[in-house]
Amino acid sequence: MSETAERRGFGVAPAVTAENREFWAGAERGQFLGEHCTACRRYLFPPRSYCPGCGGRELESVAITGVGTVYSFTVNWNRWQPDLPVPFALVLAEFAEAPGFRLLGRMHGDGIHHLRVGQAVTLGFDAGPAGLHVPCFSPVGGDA
Amino acid sequence: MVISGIGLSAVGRKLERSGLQLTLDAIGTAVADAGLDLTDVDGLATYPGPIVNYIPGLVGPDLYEVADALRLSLGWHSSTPQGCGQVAPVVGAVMAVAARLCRHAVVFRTVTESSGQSGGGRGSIGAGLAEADGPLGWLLGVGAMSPANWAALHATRHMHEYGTTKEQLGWVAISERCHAARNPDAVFTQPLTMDDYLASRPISTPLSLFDCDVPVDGSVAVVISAAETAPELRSPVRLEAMGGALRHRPLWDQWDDLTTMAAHDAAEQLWSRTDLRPADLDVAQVYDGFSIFVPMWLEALGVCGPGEGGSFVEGGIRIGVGGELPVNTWGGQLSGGRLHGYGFVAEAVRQLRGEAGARQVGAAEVCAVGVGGGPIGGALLLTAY
Repeated sequence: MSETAERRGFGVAPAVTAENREFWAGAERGQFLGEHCTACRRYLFPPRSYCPGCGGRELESVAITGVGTVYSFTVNWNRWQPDLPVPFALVLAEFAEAPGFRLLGRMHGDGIHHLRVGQAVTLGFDAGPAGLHVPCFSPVGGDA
Repeated sequence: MVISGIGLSAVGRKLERSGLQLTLDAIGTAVADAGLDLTDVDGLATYPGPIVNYIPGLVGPDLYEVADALRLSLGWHSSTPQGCGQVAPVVGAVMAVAARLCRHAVVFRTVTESSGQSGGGRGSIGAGLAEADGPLGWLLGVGAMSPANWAALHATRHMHEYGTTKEQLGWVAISERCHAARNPDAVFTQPLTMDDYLASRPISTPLSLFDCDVPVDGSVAVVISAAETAPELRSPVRLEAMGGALRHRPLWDQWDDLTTMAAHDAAEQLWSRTDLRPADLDVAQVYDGFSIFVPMWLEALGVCGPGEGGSFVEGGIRIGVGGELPVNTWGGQLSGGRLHGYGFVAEAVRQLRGEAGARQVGAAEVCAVGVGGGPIGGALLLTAY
């Protein structure tokens, strides 16, 4: 499979909304943006322009750049759509730099059948449905 | 409040019968089972109601279509796509009866997922949708297209934290298949061995084919009645308590601790509403859309401690008909068919009435029903009248 096809996303495009527009714009630039409440220091995802801790409505965007840790994962084998390339892996990762933050994305690399909870992953973006850049992961040290 | 009647339509694979006909079959049976006439029915509810048909055959007939077909005079009616899981309309019916808006409420759940999905196997959620709104967008957008993926994330984490094994999940499937063999309405009744189970094709690791429920066509109707009508009823079952709390982040990917589910919040609330305790349970009917949900529901209900669900089901002994706590005595959704929560309610009523035939648990007086997986969950506690 070509590199392009391997990295092509699948699924259904998420609706772009007033709350998540900035997230998707950041994704297009290759940045994963989370929301951060300066008042109570919470990291928030998904973005909703609202802090549940203090009710704050003015949140700053912060780029998450560090290494993630696998919280859970699964390797999908079933062809849910006729042309779905299988198998592929999904990882739910956490980030030490942003406690409470958790992100689901496709996992790339050769090790998808040997994934472990706790392993380190780096964040990237795939070409997703409807031209959106969706979060994905790669092994630390592997090619992104 | 009591559950006064249950009714099932034919349940099977690719029945040549519309959802509306299956529904009318089930409601007619349930009302007669209660000892009532249709003119007594003054409440009507269903799950999920008119939502996007994310999975072909998931959404049953329109509530108003059914109400009009029966020419009901309604004191209360409701369809609830978002609530404490698939049994949310049962909870709603109880509240409506308690508020004296109605005396006898019918709740129906109809699926035509076998006919709906024949031809291509189970599809993704939202196939054909242009875009996904809300929380679903974050799942579908990254390729997590099936609840199998979402449940698998729970399973992987539960295995990691507690050492739950594939074989333990296999015992859920095997035990339920044994139960199904004694249920004339079940779709899969041939014995399942551990070799069969382990050899089945992977769907989303660690879940394989026999860890996933089987789509069927069928309808279940349940009648909820005011307690004071009991003298008029054929064989009521008491609704002792219910729970549907949701105290954590209500999203599959953001739920704080994936070794738990909304089931835990619902069950905690359930037990706060009764003097009965988990040790009083004689039988349990708990959601098995995916096998992992069974040990998780047993932990949620306090039948065993956190992380002990795998051990509890291992060997299929404790959860078998003669065991300490028989579970899913009708075969569950894995073998009895994906009646989307309501097979559990119907079986609970049968067991407590002593009408479960060859699979009757002796002296069954207290039965828990737990329905839903992930951030979706509702629980009922039923007792013999």
